[in-house]
Parts: sequence; C-alpha cells; structure tokens
Amino acid sequence: MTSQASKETDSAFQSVLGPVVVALFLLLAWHVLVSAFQVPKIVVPLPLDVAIAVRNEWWVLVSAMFQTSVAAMTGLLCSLVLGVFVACVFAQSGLIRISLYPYAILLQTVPVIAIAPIVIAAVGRGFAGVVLISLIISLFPVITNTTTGLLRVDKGLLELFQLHSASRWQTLVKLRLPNSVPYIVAGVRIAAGASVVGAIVGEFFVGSSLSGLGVLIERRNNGFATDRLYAAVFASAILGVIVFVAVSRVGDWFLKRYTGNSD
Amino acid sequence: MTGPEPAKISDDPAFAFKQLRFSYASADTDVLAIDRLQIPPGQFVSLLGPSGSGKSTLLRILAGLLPLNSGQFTGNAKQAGQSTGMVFQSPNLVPWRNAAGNVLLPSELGHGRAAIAKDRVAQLFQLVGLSTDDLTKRPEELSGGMQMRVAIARSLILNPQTLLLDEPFAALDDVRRMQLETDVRAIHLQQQLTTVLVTHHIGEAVFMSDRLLVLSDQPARICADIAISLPQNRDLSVRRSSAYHLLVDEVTDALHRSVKQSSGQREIS
Repeated sequence: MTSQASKETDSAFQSVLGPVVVALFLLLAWHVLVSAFQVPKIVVPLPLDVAIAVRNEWWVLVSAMFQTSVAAMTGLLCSLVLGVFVACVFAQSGLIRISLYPYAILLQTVPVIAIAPIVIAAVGRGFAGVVLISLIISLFPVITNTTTGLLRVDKGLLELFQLHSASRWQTLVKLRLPNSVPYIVAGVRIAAGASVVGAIVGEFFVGSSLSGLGVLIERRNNGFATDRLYAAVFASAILGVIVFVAVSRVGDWFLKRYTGNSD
Repeated sequence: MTGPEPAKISDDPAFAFKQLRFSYASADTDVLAIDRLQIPPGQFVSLLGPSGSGKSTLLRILAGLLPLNSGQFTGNAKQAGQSTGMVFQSPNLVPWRNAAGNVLLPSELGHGRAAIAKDRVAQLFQLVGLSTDDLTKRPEELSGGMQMRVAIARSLILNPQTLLLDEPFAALDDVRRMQLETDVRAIHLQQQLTTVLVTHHIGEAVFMSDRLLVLSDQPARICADIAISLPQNRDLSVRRSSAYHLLVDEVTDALHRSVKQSSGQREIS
C-alpha cells in the first residue's frame, strides 16, 4: 500500500516535472536563438519581455481568460446537448447515419473564416456568435463518440431487452444512453480543447464587441506591441490547458461515480 | 430456501415444434431441421451437440428472439402472456446499476411496469444464494460466480414459467460451476419451471436435466433423446453415483455418434 502510494506520488511528480523541464529548455532555446541572431523585438520578443508584459497586464489577461472561458464552456455545454441529441438520431438507423454523416463531417472541415460572415449575419457580433463558433468547432467529437457508444452495446443485453419487449425508447434511455456515458465523457474531453480554440477564433472574427482573448490577439496583431501579443497567446495556451485538465478531472470523477471505475 | 409464488403448471406442452426449419438470411443451408419436439411443462431439458450445431439458435427460437422460416411452434408461456427468463453466457449486468437495480431491470421494460413487491429482490437474492448485503453492490464488486447469481435472480424477477440458459456456467471454475448447477436445479424444482439449458459440458447436462437432447451438426437434428432417471433432488451423492456415471458414458457415446453422423453427412453432400 505504502509502496503503491509512493509510486503514485512519483508518477504525479514526474507528470509535473517532465513538462516543466521541457518548458525551461524551450524558453532557454528561445532566448539564446533570439539573442544570437539579434531578432528585433517587434518580430520576436525575448521570453523575459513577454514575462514583463504578462506581469504588467495581469488583470487584463485574467479577465480576458475568464470571458473566453465563459464563451467556451457555454459552447461546450451546447455541444454536449446538441451532440448527444444528434447522435441519438444517428443511432436510429444505418440509413439515417449514411444520409447525415457527410454533413457532420462538414463541421470538421469548414473554415471558421468562411462561416464568420454567416454567423455575423445570423446572430450579430457578440457573445452569441462566439458561442456559436465554439459550438460548431467542438460538436463533431461529441457526435461521433456518442454515436459509437450508442451502437456499441453488448449483444446479450440487447437480447435481454428484446426478450422483455422493450420499446425503442426504453432501449435508448435504459441501455444505449447509459452505455454511451464513458464515450460521451471521452468526446467532451476532446471537445473541451476545441471549444477554447473555437471561442478564441470566434472572438477574433465576430467578437469585436467583447474583450476576450481572441479580441486581445486581434487588436495586438495590428499594433507594434509584439510582447503583449505573445502575452495574450501565452494566456490562450494556459486557458486551453486549464479547461482540458478541468474537464478531464470532472469526467474522471463522474465516471468513477457512474460505473465505479474511471477507465 | 423461500421464494416467490411458483407459476402453475398446465397440462399442455411448454414448447411444441412440428417440421421446424430455420436458416439465417445470409446462408443457403438450414441451421435447424427438427421434425417433432415436445417439451412438457416442468421438465429440465438440456441441449448438447457439436459447436455451431444450432443449440443456441434453437434456444433463441424458444425465447422468441428469432423467427421461424417454416413449421409450427407453440410455446404456452408466451401464449399465456407469461414471461420467459433467460440467462446468457456472460452475466450481462449493466455497470451503472447496483445488483438490485440489475435484477429489477426487466420489470421496467415492455408495456406497463410490472409491480414488484418491495422484498421480492431480497427474496430472490436469498433464493440464488446471495446475501442482502450484496443488494447495493456494483457488478464490479462481485465475483464472476456472484454476478451469474445476480443474472439468475434477474431472470426470475417476473416470475417466469420458462427459464432458458445459454451456457451460463461456461466461464466459471469447476467448484463455482458445480455449486451453481446444484442451486439452479433446486430453483427449477422449487419454482416449477420448464428449463432448457444449452451446454457443452456432458456432466453438467446429466446432473441438471430430466431429459437430454443430442443434436447433430448443421442442419441440427435430434439424434438422441435420453431420459435422465436420477433422483429429483440432486447433490454431491448423485455425482458420485454409478447411475450418474453410466448416464455420462451413454451421453458421451451418443455425442460421438452425432459427430460421426454429421461428418458422414458432410462427406455425402
């Protein structure tokens, strides 16, 4: 027991230490290369300049991260609800899946820059547009994972339901949907990162009335404050990691309560 | 052991077939070709035969899970609107429900929820040899044998007249398997069930059954119908009796003959 606990501590320590060492190495390489080649600050700032920009704008960045995360989480929640609903429709028949699947793939392939004008025309420049783009970007993994979970049901259990004359609805609600919960959690985990990307890109294109990270990046892209642009990009990366880890943790916790294990 | 009210046994056969033919849509040849078969109510019948001979297919036809291609089939449990209990090769418990929730699952399906008395699940747990402490346990907290006992309790929740068993003990070790064979035989007698068991295990079939049908390879025909004249209540002493061992030998011979007959048929065709 003690050795297992110490192994877990070791593994947790390594999972933090590994990325930190890589980060330090990358920062060092960045500093050395920019200094050695005398790259102008306006093109690539030094890591220390970016750190100073982060410190000076701490509150602006945190509030932008908060705004973006609210839009991303709203988009993710909408993806969860809509994705599970669409998957339930997909699971009804092979014909429905064949007919609708190409349109689901469109969600993956359509460039945001192409749909931005459509979104602006539909819901205007604002929070709703950002959420809509975040939803479009994060919907696909929820649909595909949930559909897999709804269809990959044990044959014996399906026979049990058939034996007891279960209706289509009972089979969906009491067997297929509960069976797909681990798949939904895995889908949402993938969608979490995508929802942040969707929210930032959405703010960049349609969120000019807001003050999220995408808006900060868009404004700083046009100026000469490259260190502040890097600070916003740094905040975006941190937000992506925070959201991914948080959603993963919540998913693991939920699965553990749901089936007794999180595998 | 105490348990729920057993279903009344009628005089009509529980299952009766005439000229039964069955083939899968994807195959040309018949899987089953049984000219005549009657299973009286209250009988414990085992189906033995080579792998892939169609035993499980016959069981699924009895359960109403597969339709017949041709022939007549009457199964009085279905006609009387009574439920059929079925236990599969794996316990098939859903991990998101505890043991009691799994047992109650069939009562929540179909048209109109079946009214289940509050202490019914506890009674069934007692009947299948589980403790009431196991009611709230998750499937993953139970051993393979205990999971199978939960699956048996689930098959009895709607007070069925017929119990269909599809190699339920195949994955268990010998000790657990023999315990369950004894217990299921006792449940069969106590609940006055008509039970059909598909198995590969000759000893299991002889120990549990009143009658044993040996099927030939595809198309499955009944090539031996053997009455098992052992005491109704069976325990370890029955397994040690010479009558049991003679029957095991007789069934082994019949099974060998069926395999030879099947390979002979294949060579002719």
